Amino acid sequence: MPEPLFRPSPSFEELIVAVGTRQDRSAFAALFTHFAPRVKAYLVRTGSDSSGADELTQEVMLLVWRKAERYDPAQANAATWIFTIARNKRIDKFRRERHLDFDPEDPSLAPEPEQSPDRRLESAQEARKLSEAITTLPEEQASLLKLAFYEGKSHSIIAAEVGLPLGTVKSRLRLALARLRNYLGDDL
Amino acid sequence: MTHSMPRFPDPAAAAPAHHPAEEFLLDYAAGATSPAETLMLATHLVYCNVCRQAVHAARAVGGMLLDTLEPARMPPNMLNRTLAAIDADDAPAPPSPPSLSAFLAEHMAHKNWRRLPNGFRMRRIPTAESGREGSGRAWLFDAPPGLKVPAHRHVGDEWTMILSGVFLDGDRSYRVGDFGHRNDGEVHQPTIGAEGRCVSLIMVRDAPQYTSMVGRLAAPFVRL
Repeated sequence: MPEPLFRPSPSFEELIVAVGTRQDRSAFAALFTHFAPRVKAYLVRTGSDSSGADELTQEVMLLVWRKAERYDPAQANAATWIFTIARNKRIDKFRRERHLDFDPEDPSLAPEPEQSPDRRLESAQEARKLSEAITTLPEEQASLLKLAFYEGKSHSIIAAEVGLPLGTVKSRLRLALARLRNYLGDDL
Repeated sequence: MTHSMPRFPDPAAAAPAHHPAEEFLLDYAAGATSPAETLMLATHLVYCNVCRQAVHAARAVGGMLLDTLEPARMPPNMLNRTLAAIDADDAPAPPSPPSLSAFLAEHMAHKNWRRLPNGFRMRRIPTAESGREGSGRAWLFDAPPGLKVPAHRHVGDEWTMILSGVFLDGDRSYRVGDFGHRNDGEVHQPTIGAEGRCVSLIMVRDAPQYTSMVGRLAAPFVRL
């Protein structure tokens, strides 16, 4: 199928595919302009100082370039994919210990359920549905999710820091996740 | 004694029946788990489609929150410097993380195991720097059918991931892919099912105190 010559508003997912399939520098520039300042904000919140965060952000964006050819828009939307790269980079940087994680593409993984042919489209809409869903969460649940993701803290550390019983933090996070998964419905 | 190599993951295994609590999957997605916890959860995820979907949903939350963060101020020319780094960087794409099957094959074949006369063997999986509170320590256990583990009380949590065989703990049986969680302070006396050798990953956060004389005598052997 020929590529359209002009696309006024390619999605971030399409931009990553353009980087992966034809090393498209202007697509990368568009991704960089949107995501690099947000990746930096995330790294600063999770404990990097400003200059360290600049350097790490550049490393994250380099990984975006280098891993783009493996990106599958059916598996994750652009923000989720870049978040996961930034999360892993942060772990590598701040943990001196060996960190064993396994390849999510491992062919020996338990099989995924059959995906509908238009799963690709559904995946691109996921971020929009999620952001709607998050605004419907009670503040007490949303604020805990933000602490977890913006500061990279475990639920037990969050409980200690905000002075809530561990059981309360657990039940709020479980309720939030159940609600979000329910909202995403059959996509997941 | 020969140790037959189980197939990892066992393609004939049913979907897991015992799962980690969702808040740990959330910690994992947020990058807030210790290396030993990550090893345990990542292993379960290889077997468990349900928990992979939960992690996927949690990661999508992370992506959405990243997308809505107030952008930080970037130094000038950062994009050009990154493009220059791309031009200078002719390294191939970074290697994928190891597969669970390769990781386990390497450890199962390793010569350096701690062996007991009853056919039980164990091997420490290096994950965390020692002495870091809460980070957890992990072992690979390979136990013969019918083995009874001495009763013990945990000071910290114990997580178990079954890789082959059956692990019986109280009224529950854990099979391939199952994730067991014993809380701080619980006493238990697991046994290995008669079906065959049971290979498992075990993570504990602190040394358990043994509740019986037999347990105390066994402690130096098990040394959990």
